[in-house]
Amino acid sequence: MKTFDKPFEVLGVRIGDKEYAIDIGVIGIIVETSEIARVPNSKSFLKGVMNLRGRIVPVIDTKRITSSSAKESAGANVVVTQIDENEVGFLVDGVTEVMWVQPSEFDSTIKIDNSNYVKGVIMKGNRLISMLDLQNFVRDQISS
Amino acid sequence: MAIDMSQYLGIFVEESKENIQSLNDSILELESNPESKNAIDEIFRLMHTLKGTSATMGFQRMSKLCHTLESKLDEVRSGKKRVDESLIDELLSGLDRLNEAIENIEKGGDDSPVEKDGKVIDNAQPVENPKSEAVIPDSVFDVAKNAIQNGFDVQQITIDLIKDATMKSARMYIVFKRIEEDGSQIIYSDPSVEDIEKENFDRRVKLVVITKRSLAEMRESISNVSEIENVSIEKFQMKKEEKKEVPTSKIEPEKSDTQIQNENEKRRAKLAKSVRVDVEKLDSLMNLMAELVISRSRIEETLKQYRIKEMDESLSQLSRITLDLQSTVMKIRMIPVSFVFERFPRTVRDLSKSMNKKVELIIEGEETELDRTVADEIGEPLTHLIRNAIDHGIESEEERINLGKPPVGTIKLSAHQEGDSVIIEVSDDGRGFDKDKILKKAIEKGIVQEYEAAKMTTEEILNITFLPGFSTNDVSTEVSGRGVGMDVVKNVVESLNGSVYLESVEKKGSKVTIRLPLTLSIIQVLLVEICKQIYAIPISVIDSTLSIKSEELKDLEGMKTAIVRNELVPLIDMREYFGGEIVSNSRAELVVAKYKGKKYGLIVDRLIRQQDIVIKALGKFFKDTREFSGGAILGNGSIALIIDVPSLVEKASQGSKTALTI
Amino acid sequence: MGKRVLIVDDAAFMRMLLKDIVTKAGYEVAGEASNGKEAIEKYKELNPDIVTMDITMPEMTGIEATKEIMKMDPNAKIIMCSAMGQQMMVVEAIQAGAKDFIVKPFQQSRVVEALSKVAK
Repeated sequence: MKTFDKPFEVLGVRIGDKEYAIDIGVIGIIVETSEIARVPNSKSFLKGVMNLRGRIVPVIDTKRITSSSAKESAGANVVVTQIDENEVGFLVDGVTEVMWVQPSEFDSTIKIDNSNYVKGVIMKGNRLISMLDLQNFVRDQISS
Repeated sequence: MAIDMSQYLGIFVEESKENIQSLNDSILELESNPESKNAIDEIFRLMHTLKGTSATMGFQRMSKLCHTLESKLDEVRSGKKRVDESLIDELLSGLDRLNEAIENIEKGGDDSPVEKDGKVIDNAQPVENPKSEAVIPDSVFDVAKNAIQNGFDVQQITIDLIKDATMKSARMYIVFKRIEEDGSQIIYSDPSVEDIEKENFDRRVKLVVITKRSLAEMRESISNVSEIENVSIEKFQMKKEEKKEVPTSKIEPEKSDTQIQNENEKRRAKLAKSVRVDVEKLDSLMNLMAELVISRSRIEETLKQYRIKEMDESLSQLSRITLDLQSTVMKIRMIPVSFVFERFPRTVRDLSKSMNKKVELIIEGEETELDRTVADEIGEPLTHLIRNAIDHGIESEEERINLGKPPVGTIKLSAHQEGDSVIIEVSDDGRGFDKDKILKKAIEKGIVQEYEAAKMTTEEILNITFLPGFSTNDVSTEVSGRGVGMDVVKNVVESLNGSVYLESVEKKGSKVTIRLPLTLSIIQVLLVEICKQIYAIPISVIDSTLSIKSEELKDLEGMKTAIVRNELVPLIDMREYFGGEIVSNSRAELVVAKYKGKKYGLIVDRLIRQQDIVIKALGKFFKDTREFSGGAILGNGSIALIIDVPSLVEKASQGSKTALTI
Repeated sequence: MGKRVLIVDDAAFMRMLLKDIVTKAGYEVAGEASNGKEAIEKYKELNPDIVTMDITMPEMTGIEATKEIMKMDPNAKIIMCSAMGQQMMVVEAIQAGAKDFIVKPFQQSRVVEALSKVAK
């Protein structure tokens, strides 16, 4: 089953040694990782909070929500998203490129990453890129 | 202290005018439609509001008249009386008197027209300037004259405190209390009550007092207060009358018309100065203020590195100004809690009536001020609590008589300020929470397992009522026990950075204590370092800080303790609690915090400094991490998490059942 | 015989100091208490003429204790012992019925003045 009937734009990010895609529609800004304050006794996927222009923004360790086996690294960038009035940062190891995806290039039935928050795979030539479903992730976490 | 309400005078006048107008409309509607329950309810509501606000402002005559009219309507409501022409007439003429009172108040007078059958007192009498200094306003003479006619004595009292008196405003408070204890009334104070409260005076205070006491009796009771150097009391010098009786006294030229006008203008100016402001504007002012505070600390921090001497003075001036500005902005946002409380006499009246119970509501501390936003939010939870108290707490009249309790139940709603917090308490003398019923219900709902139940402390059982799953819809049956909407209460209070605490004694009653921050966004904190990260602890909870030798840390059945000022204090090792590395040191830095009257020592790596910070929410992802009430951005851009000591202590003690409970 | 004073303070040192001042001024120390709860019990038991009451104490604060004692005995004569900066609390205590207050660090003359005026 295909979920998209129109071309859509995504941002490619590196998490560990794998590439993932994030829907460009939810992305507000991409910043280089600055100081992240750890919040003790919070959920394990929470890296902490960072100061984004005077606002306090939670930062999610994307390694913890994908099945990346990569060891914890400092993470080079934070992709700050705006999802349902929540500003949420996702820590990634790098940003690859912004790309257009044709509906034919996306398949939601295939999963090469068994995270709950991957909604399918983008096939660009011989690259297989898991599409992250950050919207659902944020909604699940906030409502739980 | 009888706080100076004059700052609210403008709003009071404006609102009262609106209410009187609406009353007028509703009374007329009632006249054309005597069966309209809506109209009666509306009149009742408006009259009640007017009664409450005028009483709060100290206009007892207005309040009394409203009360009289309100009771007339009550008779109609209960069917004892029918709406007829005479009632409408009475209501309308009462309304006219209220209107005249408001008009007089607006002119700078008082509510005396209420009793004067519509005759407004003429304020524009020539004034003789008594001695020197502040001019005693005409209204004081009017009141004094009235009092003398009614058989009271009016005295002028001058009090000098000793030179190095401490806590002058508390001292004056005792004096005020001594004077007022037998019903005597202070009608004038120079400096003003507001200035006295702010300790904005030197040593001398002049008062004009209406009393039945003799000069000697008055002197006796005032000079029994310590730290007073001198008290002089004399009969209050009335203007014209005195002139005739004491021909030797120097007669000053009477004031010209323009002078009188000027004075009247001045009095009116106080009213004109009050404006209604959209809360949103206040919010944005507050945010700007917050930004300013941050910028200031940033500048301070940067400049410190360069040690420019010339900057020191300007910098400290900047600090002072921002601090003043901050407290002014904060003050603008503060309103007396009476704005929330005033609805409850009505709530209690209606609910107790519908539930056929006899309940008396006692309200205390309604002059306590709190932030407008907090006031807006707290009404609903308080309504829940009061409803609970009447519905489930207070027993029926016969049951109470059988139990040997007074037939009328009491609900007490009180507020007071404690440091940086406002404490609101709702207590009742009803049957209290039934622990067994709570447990039974909790087990039924699967919140608590049966085997756990036996081990639970009273406090733990009471806390179940705050859990979201506990409250149910079977509210109407009394067997359901209590706990209706308690989770709502907790949620609202916590969203305001406050905390709730429930106490209950079976058969005796229960008390809910709500602790709210005085202001929402700026607090004073102590910055500390724990495992290489900076955290903030609100100054308001800190008892003291000290550095002790590591060997003085005692292990008591697996719990760290230390002796602080002869007291055994349980410790929470923050480094361990936050899961960090513990660097062993020869000394440990302790922050001693107070919670529910007990002391707890928090072990930290380093004390940094005291600072004003702006609280920012951490957001929904951290709603379970209650150890932190928020975060703050420091001058260098890094984030300090604000430790919420009550939650920390609660959580830490759950972690180690026996620990922390000594 | 001198009036009997109950001294309430959580710090043993302060109690000692006050005891000294009180006895030297010709009063009798009826007893001591180290927190609000104890103060109430001691008040019931000893029925002193005057109480000196510290404000911040463990278990129960001096303000709460004052409220309770005033409920039991509306004629109770309580002098609050306050630290600098506790003006709000002092005012609260006076509202609750305390007759006077003294401020730490204590000056002997002030303590004696407060005692003698309250004792009247």
